[in-house]
Amino acid sequence: MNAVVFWIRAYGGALAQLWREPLASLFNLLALACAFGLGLAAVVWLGDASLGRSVPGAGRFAPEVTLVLRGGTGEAARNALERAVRADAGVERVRFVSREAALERLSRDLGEPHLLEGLGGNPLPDALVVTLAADLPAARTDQLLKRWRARGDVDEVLADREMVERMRHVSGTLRLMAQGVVVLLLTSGAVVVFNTIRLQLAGRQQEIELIRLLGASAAFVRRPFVARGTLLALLGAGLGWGLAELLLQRVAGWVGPLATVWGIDTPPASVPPQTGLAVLGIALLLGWITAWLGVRQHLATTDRR
Amino acid sequence: MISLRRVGKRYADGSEALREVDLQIAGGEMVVLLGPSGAGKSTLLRLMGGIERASSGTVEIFGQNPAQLDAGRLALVRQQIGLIFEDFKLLHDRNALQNVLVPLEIAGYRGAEARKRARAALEKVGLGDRESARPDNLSGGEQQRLCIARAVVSRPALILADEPSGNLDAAQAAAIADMLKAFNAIGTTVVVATHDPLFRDRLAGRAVKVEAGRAYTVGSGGKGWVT
Repeated sequence: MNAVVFWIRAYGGALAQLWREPLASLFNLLALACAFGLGLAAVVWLGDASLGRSVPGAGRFAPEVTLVLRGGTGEAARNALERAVRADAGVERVRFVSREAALERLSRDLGEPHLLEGLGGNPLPDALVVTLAADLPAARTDQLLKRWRARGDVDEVLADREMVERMRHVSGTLRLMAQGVVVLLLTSGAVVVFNTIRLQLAGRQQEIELIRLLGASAAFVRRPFVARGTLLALLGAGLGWGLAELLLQRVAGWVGPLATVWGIDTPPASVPPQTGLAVLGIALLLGWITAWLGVRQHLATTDRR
Repeated sequence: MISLRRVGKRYADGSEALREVDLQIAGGEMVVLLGPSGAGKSTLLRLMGGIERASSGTVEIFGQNPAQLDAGRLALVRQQIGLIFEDFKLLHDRNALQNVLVPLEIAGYRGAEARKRARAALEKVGLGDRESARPDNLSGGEQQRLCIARAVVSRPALILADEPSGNLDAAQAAAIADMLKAFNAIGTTVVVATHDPLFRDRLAGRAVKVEAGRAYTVGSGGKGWVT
């Protein structure tokens, strides 16, 4: 019970201290918000392997293959084909695009609503758009393409083998970049917290030495600094979440129309709550660890004197 | 309560502050360490407070050797000692009450109970009406009394005072001496290091002369100690 009260008081004190030093606190929080916010946006937008699996749009760089159906393929045959393709290992998603829908989209994309009148008839075929798993091995991709090409109800398989590979590489590289950016930004966040705590410790050197002489334990000395570190990291991550929301909205606004033209998913316009909460948790842990290490290092130096 | 056997202290620069010091201090005693500046009185006090470690010999405080204690146990030993520093070591960004609250917070007291005890300590040293004052706004004598209030607030078993009359006028020094005597009268062991003859004369107890790193018991009582 005592420990809980002490921690509540420590957090109250940390909050009061943040308030007493508004400018320093603001700059620290802004630095942390940038670190956590950009990291969060990177996770959501590019799709991080560990955090972004459940993020909508994380798989938008996964390779797609279009199976153009032979003319006159009936609904029953098309459904059977769709079921068969969906059952193939390595297929993530199958979407039917009717020839009418394809023409409508083409008209829309070209900005020509009366396209059909000019053409005299719809020249486009029905198609199945197949999304392959991003990490599908090249040999398996080749095997699937070969199998689909051999089917009688498939007229053509539009999948450039090199394009599929390129997309896979792009996807992998982007994911790796996202992870790198996240690690870099989290490290920056940790450095900001660590340095802030070190400055605080240096500023309260005399007080720390005195309370150690009066019998304060390491835990007693550590508590307010750990409270300060975790509060700083948590508030920074909270602001970062807000920043990431703004960034994602802006990016979605800019990239959305292009994504439609390229035929890829629109990037997410907001941070999924579970991802945001995960980052808050990481920030809390990071703040705790860095502050704890900072005080430990400081006390080791002070106590040696 | 305190036992020093063949204790020596040599600093990293090679200077020898104490050598072969034997000293036993019983619970409830008043001991005055006499001697000129640089004789080793402060070093002796720091060893008794577990602040420094002896280079040789054995120091025991409350039956425990601080050199053999881990940081947590050493902290508990220090909580039983009231330290009065020559330079006061007050926290200048806190007021008098908050300064006195520090040892209580360390000991786990909080809220109204802690404030009640801190105010009682301030009253005892005559600073009851100055609890909101910052140390910078207190006179030298008041700062020394505040330092004493902080030392006694957690009712320590042992008070170690290093030159408590330094920079004080005769009247203020006499008041501080009376205060230490009062704490000793209720059973607190008090060890005072001083080179002030008037202050020394005002305190009653055992006199230990510290000279060139050696300590000798030279008498007891007030005036007439052999120094």
